[in-house]
Amino acid sequence: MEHRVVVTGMGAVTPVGNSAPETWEAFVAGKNGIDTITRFDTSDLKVTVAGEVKDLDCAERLGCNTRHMDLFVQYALVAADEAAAQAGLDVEGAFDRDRVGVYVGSGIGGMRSYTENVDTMRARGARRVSPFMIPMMIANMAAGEIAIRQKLYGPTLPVVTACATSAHTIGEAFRAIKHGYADAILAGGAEGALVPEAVAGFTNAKALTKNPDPQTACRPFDAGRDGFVMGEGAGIVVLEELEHARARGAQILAEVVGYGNTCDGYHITSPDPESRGITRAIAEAIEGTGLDAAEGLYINAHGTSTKLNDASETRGFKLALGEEAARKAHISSTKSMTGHMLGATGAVEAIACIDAIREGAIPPTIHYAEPDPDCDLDYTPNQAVHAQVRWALSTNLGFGGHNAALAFKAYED
Amino acid sequence: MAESTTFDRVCDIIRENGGAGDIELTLDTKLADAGLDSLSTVEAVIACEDEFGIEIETEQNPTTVGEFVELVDSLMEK
Repeated sequence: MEHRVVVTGMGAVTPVGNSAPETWEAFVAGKNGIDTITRFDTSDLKVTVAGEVKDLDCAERLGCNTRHMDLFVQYALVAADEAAAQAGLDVEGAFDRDRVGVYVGSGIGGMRSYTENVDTMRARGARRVSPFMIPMMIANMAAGEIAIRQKLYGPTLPVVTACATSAHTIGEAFRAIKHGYADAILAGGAEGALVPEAVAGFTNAKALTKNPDPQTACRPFDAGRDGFVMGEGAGIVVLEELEHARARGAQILAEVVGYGNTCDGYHITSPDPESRGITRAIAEAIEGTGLDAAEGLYINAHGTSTKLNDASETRGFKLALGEEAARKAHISSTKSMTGHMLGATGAVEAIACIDAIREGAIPPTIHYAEPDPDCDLDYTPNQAVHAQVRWALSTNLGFGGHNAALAFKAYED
Repeated sequence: MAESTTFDRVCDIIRENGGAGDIELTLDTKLADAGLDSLSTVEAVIACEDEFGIEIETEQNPTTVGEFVELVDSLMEK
């Protein structure tokens, strides 16, 4: 028997807001979260801008000592608290804890914990390496720590598919609940890898823009785009089996209706030039949903602001939906405001899709100035628009050729 | 006198690594009760090596504050 899966809670930490509502408000206002890097000295780096999380004291917000948690885990815990509280999962006895799981991954994991210990080992020897280095750096630890804090004993699956990570965790959680393996799952991802080594690595991989101007550095789908901007944060949603949510009177925010997971099998960093992988992921997500691609569709694109991604994704939308439907769709890249939150990005963008459905608003692609003939769809330039959103697609592509597409629709009985 | 100094310094390190707040530490206090799990104990042991200029075998696992102080004192005498 297949079950329907709904969303009953959302939490976010992003460069534009330290909660899901704050982030949504910033999205609709077109607020830019990208600025000059303050976290460390950039004088030896060619890249000087990023989307940093601001004014967030995780230890204070969590009410616990965070010394033994990497930043990505702290962000994940903050977002998970928010999502669980909204869903009412923090209420004792409201559910069977053995049947609630955690699918939360990270693209990179605790890179800062690792690099700090490398420095310590080189300077002071092996004996001084922290016994906490491994548990702090491994990318599954956000899921582990959330389960410990929230006392959840169901399935856990911390996906690692780079920038598609938290779209895949949500998709896999959707399937697990659909097929009866859990009543509810906290799903999403987190990233806290803004360290000089990561910036240097992405820069030399020719992935980042070297543009130092925060107002033009990240401009998805614009002709002048020349690389992504690193971000950080976390996004967590509570997915729940419909009857379980109804039985306990939970507020239902949207329904998850489809998921596609494919791989390009082509190149470690470049997307397939024929967009076959993302096209198949979108087709898989829509299949069997009965949704009309030409009616009330919002697409939160991956839209990284790299030359290749944005053109490849545009082609994928046309191939998967048909040229006419793709032209009718409202599309935007909220990365224009957050930068690329890597493993957190899919979940934050899924939340943007759910809010767009609920609020009837399309967040804009900011910093958009000059059209590119290879990107000729409606990317909602610079200003949010009001529109009835019947359903939404979120797409994400990750290094390794990983593709994910998620489909959400307004909840109806 | 030397013993009480070691005790105070060990207690400071335990507090720094345990996050146990203001609980009163005595020679009989179990490290687990002071908030130190097995990994935090290793961290405290490493911090003691720095503090006292000694080397502690990784297999040494003190379970109380008193055992910890004794271990440090015995190594300091060597």
